[in-house]
Amino acid sequence: MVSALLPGLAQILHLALVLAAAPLLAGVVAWFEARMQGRAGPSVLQPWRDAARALGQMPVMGEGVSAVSRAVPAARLAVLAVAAALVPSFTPHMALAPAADLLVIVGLLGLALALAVLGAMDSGTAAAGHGAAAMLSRATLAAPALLGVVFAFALAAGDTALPAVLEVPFDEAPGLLPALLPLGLALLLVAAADGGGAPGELSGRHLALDAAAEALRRLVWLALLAALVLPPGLPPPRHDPATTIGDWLIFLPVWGAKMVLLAAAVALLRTLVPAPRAGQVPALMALAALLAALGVGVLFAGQALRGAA
Amino acid sequence: MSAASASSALVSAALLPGLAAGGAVLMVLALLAALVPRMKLRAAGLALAGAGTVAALAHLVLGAVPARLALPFAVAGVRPVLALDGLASFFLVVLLPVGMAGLARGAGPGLLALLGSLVLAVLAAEAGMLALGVAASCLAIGGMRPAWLAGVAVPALVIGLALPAGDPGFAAVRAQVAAGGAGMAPALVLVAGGALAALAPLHRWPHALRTQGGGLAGTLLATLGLYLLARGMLDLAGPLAPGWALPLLMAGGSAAMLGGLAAARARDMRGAMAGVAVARSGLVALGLGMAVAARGVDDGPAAALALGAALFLMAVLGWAQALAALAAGAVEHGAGSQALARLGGLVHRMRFTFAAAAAACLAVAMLPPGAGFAGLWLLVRAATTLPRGGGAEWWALGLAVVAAAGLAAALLGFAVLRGLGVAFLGRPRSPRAAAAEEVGPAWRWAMLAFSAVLALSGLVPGIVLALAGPAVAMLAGAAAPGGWLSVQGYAPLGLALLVALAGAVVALGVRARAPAGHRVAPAWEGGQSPSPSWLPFGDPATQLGAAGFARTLGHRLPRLRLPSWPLKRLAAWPGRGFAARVAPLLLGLKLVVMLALHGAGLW
Repeated sequence: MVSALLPGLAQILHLALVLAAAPLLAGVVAWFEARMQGRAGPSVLQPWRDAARALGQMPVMGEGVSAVSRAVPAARLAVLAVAAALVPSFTPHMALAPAADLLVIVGLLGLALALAVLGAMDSGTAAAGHGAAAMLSRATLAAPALLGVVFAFALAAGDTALPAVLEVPFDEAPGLLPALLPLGLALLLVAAADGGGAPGELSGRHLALDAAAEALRRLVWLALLAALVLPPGLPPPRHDPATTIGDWLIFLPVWGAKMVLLAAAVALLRTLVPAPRAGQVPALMALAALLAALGVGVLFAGQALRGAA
Repeated sequence: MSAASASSALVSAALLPGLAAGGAVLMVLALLAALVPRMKLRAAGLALAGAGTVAALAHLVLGAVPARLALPFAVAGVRPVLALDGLASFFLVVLLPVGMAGLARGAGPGLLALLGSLVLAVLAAEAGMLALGVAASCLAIGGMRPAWLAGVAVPALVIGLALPAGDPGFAAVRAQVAAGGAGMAPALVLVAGGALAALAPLHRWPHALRTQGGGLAGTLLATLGLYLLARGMLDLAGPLAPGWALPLLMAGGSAAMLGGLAAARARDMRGAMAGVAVARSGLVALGLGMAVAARGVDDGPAAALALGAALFLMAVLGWAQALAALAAGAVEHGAGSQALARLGGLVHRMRFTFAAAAAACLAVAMLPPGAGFAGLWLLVRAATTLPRGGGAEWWALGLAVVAAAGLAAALLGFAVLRGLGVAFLGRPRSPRAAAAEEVGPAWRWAMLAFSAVLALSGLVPGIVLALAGPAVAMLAGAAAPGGWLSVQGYAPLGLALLVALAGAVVALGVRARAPAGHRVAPAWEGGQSPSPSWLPFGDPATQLGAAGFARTLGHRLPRLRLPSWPLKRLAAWPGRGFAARVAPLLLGLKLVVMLALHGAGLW
């Protein structure tokens, strides 16, 4: 009886966790970035406070915008919340696990991006339009690498379902462990290409919703990286409720540590590496695609070597 | 059981002559329309196509029991044999609604003739009639490129299918292939089908046809090419060596990417739709190629998955193109232009059209929970089964298919978001767009019907897959992927409900915590001074336009283009003037003579 309720409980806890952690993560990245630049940095709770204050203000909208602008921030947040609910944190055995599919998560991220682009185009200003176009082109060029990474994990697991991908034992897919390095780098490049947020003049509740969505988008990418690439994996299925909850208590801080590590890495990259110019994006995305192909090649070599042995 | 199947067989036997008669009547209507200039035949054409759609649907729903009919007379030396099976019915269910949308956009005699000859080509059960149908389809559209296509496709078909067997009937061809292999027939089918489907390197021709039937003439002819590929490579040629998949995959992958790129850069809606038509052919060819490869290594379930993906994408992207053509027609009617540089801000005055265009774009952009995403999902899943075939080449093939499909889908998403954003959102770029008018109720109902079909196919892809089921079972030898709420783990209805639930929670939370309403202020234009009074909607030039949007994709991509000199030669052939006018006639004459000689047993 209790074990039947556990996936639902895990799902609710996970959702609460990611919704609370998303603004915190944004704060942690900003804090790390400030420290690395020698500044004291804002409190890690600053994004929370900013969003709460913006939520209480009346939004100001440009003349001539349509209902699209009013609907996009909430719709984008809803789509990203579903994506965040599907990417596991401390356990993959959640109520929505059957819906957690790598391609579906990629698709939801794409849908959120499309909504952001439409919202920016609706404002009818030059800056917003240019921002939306640049964001969309980066994501377009990143698509082959992203699907290459999905392909590699799907080959290792025999399925695109995320729980199946996360439970592949390394001795059954012998090339997977060495392939994680190129695949992780490719995924990192692709994640960096997505976003830049919804450009445009937002204020009031729209600004608050957009900030929340932006924080969730970053969290989804980092949680994907943490789950797919960073060791250790996630707990195996258990029959005993007590052991299951014990697993949660172990893997919850592990997830937190992974996310802080990734936040530090993001801050370090943003401090050390200048943002690429628009002309460099195709080359970077080609590099990501090559890395993904390398990952698939390493995976194949592992299987071939095992076949020979 | 036997009573039910007997009645189904009876229905099939009754539907086949009805469908064929409908196709013939469409041809007669086309002739009437050509001879009597002011005759209004649109309603008759629409009714016939609608009845044909219902008949083909009924055939599929009743289990797609095959029916065969040998006609008692000869046409050009060919004694026509007709057959109705799952593949033919499924293609009719796609072709006829797309044709109806095309008729709504413009019912010239060419489009009526095209529709009629498409029906007859799909129903053909022997090579001569198939060749006649293909040639009639090509010549119905007119223009140089289709004529050239007829010249290539028809002889290739006749030689490829009929000659090795000595008997043009499909049954004889299958028996011949089973006895002695397919020979060079698949190569000829590949040339004919690939040329019609606008696969690379012949991916430019739908751009020449982008004005006919709202651009749907190109889509219809490309669908016929895809039918030829499916019928020839998977049905008639039997299980081929997996190497035959390679040219199909290469041509398909290139066409998918180049079509997406063309759509992403088009200056008007017609050009974008022509690009989408090419990308659709390419994506479907990827699925068909994977099915050929999987059948070659006797992997029935993988072949069924790939073929299901191909047929699903063929159907939903075809319907999405029909809806996009209707929406583009509404824009042309209401805002006076299809050029993206003259549109903008239509969402304020054309809400219905915007909703319809958004529904089409969701499907074409391959985003969940749209219909296109379900097809892409199946395609990628099929690619992950390819490496079951064995060595490194299969892994590389799967990776290449996934990367090509991913880039094509992303480019299509780029294209439709650019089109939707530039045409419907932002500020008007011309006075005519600022005074746009919504279309009438009949047109709105048509757009609503196609939107509903697309939404349903996206949320419950199992319906379309069930309709494709008989064709998949026939060609792949295994059951199609199916399931109503979830197809192999992808449950779009549940996903859509989850997103809706999350949206409701967000909306309620915002309503509880945030003040309602908003203030309106002049948009911040980066410090530019307010527009003068003679520009009441602001200066159009301060908005990002379609060309600037496409330029963000980068300048390096054009180098992906294939060498263009053979295409330019072909595009120029046979030139202008007298030769150009006579060439289609000569080609048609050549075909009739060939078929007559063949029918008389002399060739």
